[in-house]
Amino acid sequence: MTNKILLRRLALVGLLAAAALAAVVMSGCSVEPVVADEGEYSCIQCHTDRELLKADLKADPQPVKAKAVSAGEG
Amino acid sequence: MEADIAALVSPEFFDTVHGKMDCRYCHNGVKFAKTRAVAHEGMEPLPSATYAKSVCAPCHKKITDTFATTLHADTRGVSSTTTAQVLKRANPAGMDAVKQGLTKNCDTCHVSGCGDCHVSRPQFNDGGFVKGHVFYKSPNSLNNCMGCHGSRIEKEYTGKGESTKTVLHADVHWSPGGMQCTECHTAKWMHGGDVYDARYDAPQAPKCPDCHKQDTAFMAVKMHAQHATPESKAYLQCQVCHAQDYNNCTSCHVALDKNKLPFFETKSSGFDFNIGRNYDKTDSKPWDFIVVRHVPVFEGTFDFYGKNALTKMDAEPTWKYATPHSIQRVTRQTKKGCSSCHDNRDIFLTEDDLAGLTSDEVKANQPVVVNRVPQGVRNSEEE
Repeated sequence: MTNKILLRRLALVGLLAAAALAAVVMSGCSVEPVVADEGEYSCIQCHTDRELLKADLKADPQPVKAKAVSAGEG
Repeated sequence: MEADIAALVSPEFFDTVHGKMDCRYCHNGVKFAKTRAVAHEGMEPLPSATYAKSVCAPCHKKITDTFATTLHADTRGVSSTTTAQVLKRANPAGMDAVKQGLTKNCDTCHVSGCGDCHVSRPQFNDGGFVKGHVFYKSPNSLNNCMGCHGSRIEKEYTGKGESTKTVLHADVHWSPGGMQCTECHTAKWMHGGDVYDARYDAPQAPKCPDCHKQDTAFMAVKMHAQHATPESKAYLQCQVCHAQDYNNCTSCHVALDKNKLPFFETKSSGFDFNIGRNYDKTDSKPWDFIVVRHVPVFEGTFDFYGKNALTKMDAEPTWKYATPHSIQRVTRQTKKGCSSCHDNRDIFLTEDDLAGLTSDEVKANQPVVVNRVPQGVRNSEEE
C-alpha cells in the first residue's frame, strides 16, 4: 500500500518535472547559450564595432542590390 | 552611405526603450554566430513593414492600426489599379497596359515600414540608420522626407532649384524659418485614419490660414484686401503671389530594364511659374486663380506595356493645381506691385504655353488656360 502511494507521488513529481522542463525547453532558455563560444559574436558586439563591421564587409562584401537606373525627375 | 555606417548601432541606443529589448524581439536572427550568414539566418531587416501585424503594434497600436490607410503606405491615388488618377485617361482597350505600369512601376514607390521615417533613411534610398538605430518621434526633413520627395519638394523648399527667369531662394519656412516638414504635415495626418485617394482631398492637409490668420493686420495689406478674400474680384490662392518658380516635368514613361527592374524616364523638367484658372473649385480650393504645375504624364507613358494605353488625354488637365514649397514674401509676382502680374503674360498659363502639346492635351487644359491676362492698372491704383 505504502509503495503504491509512494510510486504515485513519484510519478506526479516526475510528471511535473517533465512539464517544467518542456516549458523551459519550449521557451528557448535551455537551448540558448548565455556566453558566446570562441570566435562567435552577438548582434551587439558586431553592430557596435565599426572596425569589425568594416572588416566583415571587406571579407564578405554585401551583394549589390540590383536597381534600374531612372533618368530625369519624377 | 557606406554599409558599415548604415548598420552601425550607437551606444546611445542602449539607453533608450527600444535599446533595452533583445535585438531578436524585433529582428529574429541568431544570438551568437561566427559568420554574418549564420547570424542573419531568419533575420527580419524591416520588422515594421506589416504595420498592424508588425512588432511595433503591441505598443503603438493606434498608429499601426491606421497607417495602412495613408497614401504613404500605398500611394493609391497614383498607383492603384482601381483608384489611380491616370485611369481617367486610359483607353478601355489598353487598360491592361496601364495596370501593368501601375503595378510594376508606380506602385514600387511607397514607404517600407515605420522605420523609413523613425529610424532609417527610406529603403527607397537604400536605408541606413539616421541616428545609430535610435528611434526618433519626428522624421527628419532632409534624411527622411526628402529622401523620397526630392525632385520637387527638396529642390523647392531648400532653394536648390534654378530658374532662367529669376534667382530662387529657399522657402522662407525653411530658411531662415528652419521649419521641419512635420510642423505642417502633422503626425496625426501622416499616421492616417481618414480615407481619400489624393493628397489634396485629405481633411487634415495644412492650409496657410492655419498659422497666418486673416485678421486685421492681414487685411491691412492692400493686396490681401484686394485678392485674398472670397469677395475679391479675383480671389487668389496664397501661392499665386508668394510662391517662387517651381519644378515642372514632362513626358514620363515607365518601363522594365533587361533585368525586369522598373525605371522611369522624364523627357524634361524645369523651374517655371504659371498662374491658371481654378478648374476645380471646392470648399478647400475656393480661389479663382491658382498656381499650376505640369505633371509628367503623356500619351506614351505606358507604351512599354502596350501602345495606345492612354487615349483619353483630354479627360483631365495636365497643368494641375499645385502647392509649391517655395514661399517667399517678395516674389517676382509681388516685387513690382500690380504690374508684376497685370499685363505680364509670362506668369500666366496661356495658349502659348500649350504649344507642342497634342490636341487632346490642349483640349484638356482649356479650363486652366487664362485667355485674358488681367489688364494693366493705373499707377494710382498700384500705390
